[in-house]
Amino acid sequence: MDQNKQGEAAEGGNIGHPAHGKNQEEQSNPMIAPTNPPKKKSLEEQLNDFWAAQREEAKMTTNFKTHSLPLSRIKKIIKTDKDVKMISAETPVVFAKACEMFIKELTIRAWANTEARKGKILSQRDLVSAISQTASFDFLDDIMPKDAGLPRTSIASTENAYLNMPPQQNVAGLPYDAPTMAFPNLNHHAPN
Amino acid sequence: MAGVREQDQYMPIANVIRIMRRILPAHAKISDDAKETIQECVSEYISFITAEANERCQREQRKTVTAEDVLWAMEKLGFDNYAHPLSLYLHRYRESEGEPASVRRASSAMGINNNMVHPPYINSHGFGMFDFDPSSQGFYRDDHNAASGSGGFVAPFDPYANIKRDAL
Repeated sequence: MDQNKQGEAAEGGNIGHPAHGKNQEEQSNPMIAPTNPPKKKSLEEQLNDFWAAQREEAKMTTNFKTHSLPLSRIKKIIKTDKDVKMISAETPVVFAKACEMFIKELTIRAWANTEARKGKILSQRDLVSAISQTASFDFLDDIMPKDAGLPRTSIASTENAYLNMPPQQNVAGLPYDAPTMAFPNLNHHAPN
Repeated sequence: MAGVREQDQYMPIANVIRIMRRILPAHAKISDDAKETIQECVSEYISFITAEANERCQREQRKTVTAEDVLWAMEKLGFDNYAHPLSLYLHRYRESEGEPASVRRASSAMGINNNMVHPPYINSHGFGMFDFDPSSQGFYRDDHNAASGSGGFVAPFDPYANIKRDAL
């Protein structure tokens, strides 16, 4: 795909950023390329280092009072599965740590794609590429947009997203996950 | 569907971004669509693992999904890299949670040093699968806690009461 510009849907609950402006993605800069290869570890090396660090970190954890992700939200997401009756108190704690690792692994893989195309902004297409390249992430294929070059609906701020989106709608189909991830119903009928 | 409930289906985006930034170079930027996509991926990940863990629970006719079920599901679904550090993490968590004085006294009375062996109440719940000596670097699934002695452990306050219900 040739498109480098992403639709910037307004984000509900926007957090303040010191850097106010959002930069457009830049085309590859050939002057940068020659200096990149010698300094970069391979993706495999980065991931090996990452997992070694996770094991060390897990051994040395002393503070279990604060989690990087709210346990109450994790419980709600777990409970979206109607078949789940009860969960032990430890289950959301383990998930909080697991999701932190998941976000980090996905970010490492996506950023490797950003760098490979000489970009400076980690974009949806980098995530789509990382997911398609990783076997354990196959379960995410169905919630990924078919064409990552197009803007997608913002769940957090549907109305704003709709106002800012181009006329064309691009809503990813959810053939398997409908019970657990309901997209809001927009004015136009979403493809099923 | 109400907006509030929709929001509840995802991790708060501020938390997600904070985690991402810890792993990215300082100059890296994240597009808005990437932030939303990651939120969706995390929820999907939780649902994916939970469904597998719950299936195991139901096969074994248990009602409560435990941390061990989650770790088992991760290994089954190709997340072996996660199960190892999480097992260490869970072990540390139980050590930190096992602080009530009654537990410490009971362990001492039984001649057990908490720093050297696992608290006996772990064995009484039949979750020995992931127990192992923290000093060893290996990760294994064998149950090495068969010799838990007669009588087991009874405490006035049991922080794992909801796990005990598995046995009923």
